[in-house]
Amino acid sequence: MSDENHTPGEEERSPTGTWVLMILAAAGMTVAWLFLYFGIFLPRGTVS
Amino acid sequence: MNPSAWISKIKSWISLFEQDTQIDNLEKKWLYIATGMVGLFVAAMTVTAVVLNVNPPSHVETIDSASLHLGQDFAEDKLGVQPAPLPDGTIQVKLVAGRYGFYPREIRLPAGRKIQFRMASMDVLHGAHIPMTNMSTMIVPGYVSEITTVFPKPGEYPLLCNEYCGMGHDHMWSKVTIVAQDEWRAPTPLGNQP
Repeated sequence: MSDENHTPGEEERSPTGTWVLMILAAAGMTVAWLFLYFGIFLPRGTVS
Repeated sequence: MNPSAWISKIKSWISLFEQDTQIDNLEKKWLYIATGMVGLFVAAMTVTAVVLNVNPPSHVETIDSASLHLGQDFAEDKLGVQPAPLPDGTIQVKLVAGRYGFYPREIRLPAGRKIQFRMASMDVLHGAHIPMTNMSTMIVPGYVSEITTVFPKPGEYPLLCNEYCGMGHDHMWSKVTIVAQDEWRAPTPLGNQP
């Protein structure tokens, strides 16, 4: 999508705030998953 | 191919993908982040499955559910915590699930030792689940369910049925008491004591 403020070929840069939110969401989800798996699930005893 | 050749090959695939597809820039970045997260989770589970032997139980053993009381393995006097551990020190527990309880109704086990549950159903499909632990399996009529686990924390836990089995399903539970290893004694061969 282009508008009068963009010259043809100019690379679109993502807004910084959106980047920050994405990284925060990804980091939060990753930390939560790792905590639940290694901190709650595995300490309850291995199953085989 | 050496590692740097692999890396440049992967980079060329990524640039081909970026050229040929019309995806919004932000969406593309999120795609890479989400794919990386999934890769990390799969790697974590794979490593623990290999290193710690964490895997779903895979055991196929058939039994005649209608005549458990007549068999060698699940006769009434053979149920409960077995007096002698297995050769590797694992404590074996035999249970029969039936509407509406697990028999014997109370068992006492040590914390921190491997426990093997061998369970059979005498009637319909049941589930066996001990909350706050990872002990959970289904007990299918006609099969012996075998699951090995470790209970790290002493305490009193209910053994619940988590598979609907009839009108009394919500009352189907027994008691599992986990005690410290030095407080636990194996039952005598004459009877299974709680």
